[in-house]
This record gives sequence, structure tokens and C-alpha cells, in this order.
Amino acid sequence: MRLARALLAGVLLAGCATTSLTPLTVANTALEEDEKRLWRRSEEEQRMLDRSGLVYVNEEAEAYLNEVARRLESPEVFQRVPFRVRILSNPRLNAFAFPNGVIYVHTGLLARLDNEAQLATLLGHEMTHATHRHAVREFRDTKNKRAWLAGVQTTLGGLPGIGGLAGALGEIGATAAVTGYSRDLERQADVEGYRRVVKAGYDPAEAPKVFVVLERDAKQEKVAAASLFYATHPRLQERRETIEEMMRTEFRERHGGLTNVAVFRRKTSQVVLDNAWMDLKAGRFDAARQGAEKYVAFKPADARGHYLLGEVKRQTGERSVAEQAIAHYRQAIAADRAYPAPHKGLGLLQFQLGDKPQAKRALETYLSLSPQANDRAYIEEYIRQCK
Amino acid sequence: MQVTTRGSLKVAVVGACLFLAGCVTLPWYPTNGVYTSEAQNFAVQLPNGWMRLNSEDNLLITRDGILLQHVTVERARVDRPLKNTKKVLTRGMQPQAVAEVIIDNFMSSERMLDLKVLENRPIQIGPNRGFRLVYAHRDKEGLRFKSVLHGFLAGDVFYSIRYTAAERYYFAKDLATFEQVLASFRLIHPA
Repeated sequence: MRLARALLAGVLLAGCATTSLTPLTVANTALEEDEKRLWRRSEEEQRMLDRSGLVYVNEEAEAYLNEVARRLESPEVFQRVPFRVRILSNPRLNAFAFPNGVIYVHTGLLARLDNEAQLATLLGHEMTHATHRHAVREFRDTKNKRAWLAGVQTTLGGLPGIGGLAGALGEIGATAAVTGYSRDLERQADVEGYRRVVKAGYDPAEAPKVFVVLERDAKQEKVAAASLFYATHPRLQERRETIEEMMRTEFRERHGGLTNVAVFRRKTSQVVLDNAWMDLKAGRFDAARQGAEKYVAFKPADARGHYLLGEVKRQTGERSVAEQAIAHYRQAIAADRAYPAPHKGLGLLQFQLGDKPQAKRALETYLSLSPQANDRAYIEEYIRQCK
Repeated sequence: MQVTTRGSLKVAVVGACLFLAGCVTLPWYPTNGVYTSEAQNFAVQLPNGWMRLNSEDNLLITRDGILLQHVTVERARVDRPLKNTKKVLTRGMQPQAVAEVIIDNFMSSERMLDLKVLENRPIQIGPNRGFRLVYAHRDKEGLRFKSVLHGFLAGDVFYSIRYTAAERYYFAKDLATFEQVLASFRLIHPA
């Protein structure tokens, strides 16, 4: 009996050691040995990710994200956790943090946000995972560490739409990116992250909208059944309600704040356009259209947005939207007469519609504007078929 | 591990029973001249000294191992969903449009990293108008692969003949052999 009590006390103490880790926001907090190993392993995984070709190269956007992250924490905390935000070329809505403070945000999620306050909400959540040492806490709660690390990859590898990402990440990255942390740790990241955001002067009312974006996407893509990210995170609605409750209580005196819409749009507009192209390639026509429309709203004079809208309509293959596609191509041409791509889109669409004289004219214009086009042989074949 | 004569006998008897019962299959065969499949509706001359693996709609051959180099012949009905894109192929599509969907399918794959299309042009494959793609990509370990893919639609079926190999050393090594395989490819019953 005495032995049983001693064992129980030992187990409880071990549990306390896990849950009582001081956040790295507190001065003089040092990393523990197993945590240092997790950090080293994270660095290896990040090097692998950097070599993978998945990192989205856009220095301006990346610098902006890091600037926002710096507003959320003091320089002293940055010395303990060297936060760095990077962007991944991936149209799925996700973001994740490694234990050493390196945060990856998918283009898909970044493209869906509307302002800097929403971006801060996202970063605040991910930064909390690092400052509150969630990776090592989760790691210690797992009895067989080696099997757990191996199991993450094996389990995720076969999941549709997730296996590839999990394969490109290492075990720690895959845990953070796909399986997420326990319900309690995710809740802590939401709550503490939200406090950072409000403290930094951002509009508290913008935070719940991030969850609305995720909820809408989960519904549209039916990801709840397929994705562990959504399945093991606390339900999105519940998370949104937690934040709304904090708005009504803890921050009831706070009205308004920073949103920095204009600067956010300027810094992220290219991400919106590039991500909409990724959505189009993946055949997610609705998401691609929404992205293209958002870009056109940001930059109505830019031919690239109108061209993309034309492509979205044309590639759906529906005759009912052919007129809309033609109108978008014409807007793109009006915005930039020397831009070859909309002439090609217009020509291909008119060929499909059987208007061969118009198709020939548009395709010839395309080749004259782009004599070195790598699809020249195809276009010449279309032109021959127009005769 | 030492195996007794009695033990070996047991293994041999169990193995023979399983083999006769059809429980054990030997999926790999040495290549041997012309490969003809009425069910798959194509015939192709295979190089000697390679190994062949069949599935219902695919033929795969390799000499140095599938991770280093292989040739595949695949067929799929146009209504079969593609793996990485929701775009679809449709009967009667122009080769340029088919190539566009196939490229987008690859581009949307999270396994084919840093994909670059090096060549994309129309070609004739027997009586069928098709396309030739040359592309390169990396796997998650950073190893670069290069592929040549010839594809075409014949009625409701999309055919592709593809050679993929590690870009360094292996790709150049068997490219000429692949071109011979390609030249010999024919549909048994053209659409």
C-alpha cells in the first residue's frame, strides 16, 4: 500500500513537472534538456523544408509578417524565442509553429484574411504554442516517444491532401501542422494569443472572424472528415465562442483598435493572386474565383487579376459563364494591351465556342506579343484548325 | 538463422500449398520482348533485362529499381478523378487542354516538389494527337527527378507512357531505351 502511494505520488509529480513548465515569456526561464533536443530536431526539419521548394518566396510579405510578430512580443522574449515567420506555398488553410518559434503560414490562410488584426490573431496563437512550450509538454505526455514520432508520419502519410505535406515535413512539423496539440493546449494558445493581440492595440472584434474564415472553408471543402487539423483542434465554433466570450468580459471596455487594412492589402496582394492560381490549378474554382475577385478589388487596374478571373470562368468549362470570361479577358486587355495571356485565353475560349475567325485573330495577337511562347506549337495548331 | 531440414520441408510444403492456392503471387517478371494486353488494349516492345510489374490498368518496368528509374504505361477512363486536382478530362479535349490538366494535377501534388515544365508540345502518337511533356521535380529528400511523358486521349480513355529517373546519371542512361519503347507503342483497337 505504501509502495502504491509512493508510486502514485511519483506519477503525479511527473505530471506536475510536465504541466508546470514556466512560459518562456518569464525572465530567466531556461530550456530543459529534452526541449533543447526538440529545438535541434526542429532546426533540422526546417532545413529540410527550406530545401523542399515549398517555401513561398516573397521577401516583402515575409518581412511584413515578421514585423507584425514583433509587435506581439517584447524584444526580451524574442531573445529567448527567436521567432521567425515564413510562408509556405500551399492553398490549404493552415499555420503552425515549431517549438523554437519558427512559424509557417500557408498562402491559403494568409490569402483569406482581411486585415492585420486578423493576421495578428493567427500569429499570436502560434507564438503561444512556442512561448508556452506546448511541443515539449505534448512530447512528455506521450509514453513511447520514438513510436509516437514514427507514428505521426505513418498515420498522416495516407491521408488525402495531408499525406504529401506531412511527408515534406518532419515529425515535429507534422505534429504542429496537421495533428495539432491537445484541446487544452489549443485553447490556451487561443486565449493567450488573443491577449497578446489586444495588448498590442489591435481591434479585439477582428479575432473571431479568423474562425469564421476557417469554419467557412471547412464547410466548403468538407475537410472536417478528412483533416486531422480540424478534427483534433477544438471545434472551430467552440473556439470562436471562447474568443467572443473574452470580448464580452475581459475586454468589454475595449472598442476598436488597429486593423491596418491598407498596409495589409498592399503587402499581401501578391499572395492573394498567387494563391488563387494554386486554387485554380487544384480545380477549386470557387476558392480561385473568390481569390481573384479579392485581388481585383485590391488592384482594379491590374490586368493580371482580370485575366485570372477570365481563366477561372473559362476553365470551369461551363458555356453559361463564357460571356463573363470574355468580358474579363477584355478588361485585362484594356488594362494592359501588351499583356499576351488574355489574348490566348480569349482565343482558346472562342475556339471552344466555334467562333474561329475571332479565335484566330486573338491567338495570332498572342503569338505576336509573345513570339517565344513555350506553347507556340499548340497555338499554331489551333490557328491551323481555324482556317 | 539456422533452419533444420525438417523446418525447410515444412516451409516448402506450406509455400507450395499457398502458391497452388493462389495466395502467393509473384508480381515481378523479367521483360521478354513484345508485351500485349487485350484487356489494356495496347502492345509495346519492352527492353530485355528489365523487370515488369502489372496492375489492372498499369504496366511498370524498371532495370535499376523503381526509385531510381522506371517506365510506366497507364490508362484511365476520363471520368476517373485525378489525384491532386478536381479538374477533369473530357472526351474530345484538345491535346493542349489535356496537357494543361495533367500539368495542373502534378503542380497540385504535395509530393512532387519544385516542379518545372521544361518542354510541352503537341505530337502524334500513331493516329492519335497527343502531347509530350518533359518536367523535373524534387522529392522531399531533395533528390531531383526528370520525366518524359507522352499522353493522348483515345475516345474515353487517357493513355500515358512515362519515363522517370533520377536526374543525375540515371535519366540520360535509359532515355534512348525509353524512346524505343515509345516508338513501339500501339493501341490494339484504335478508338
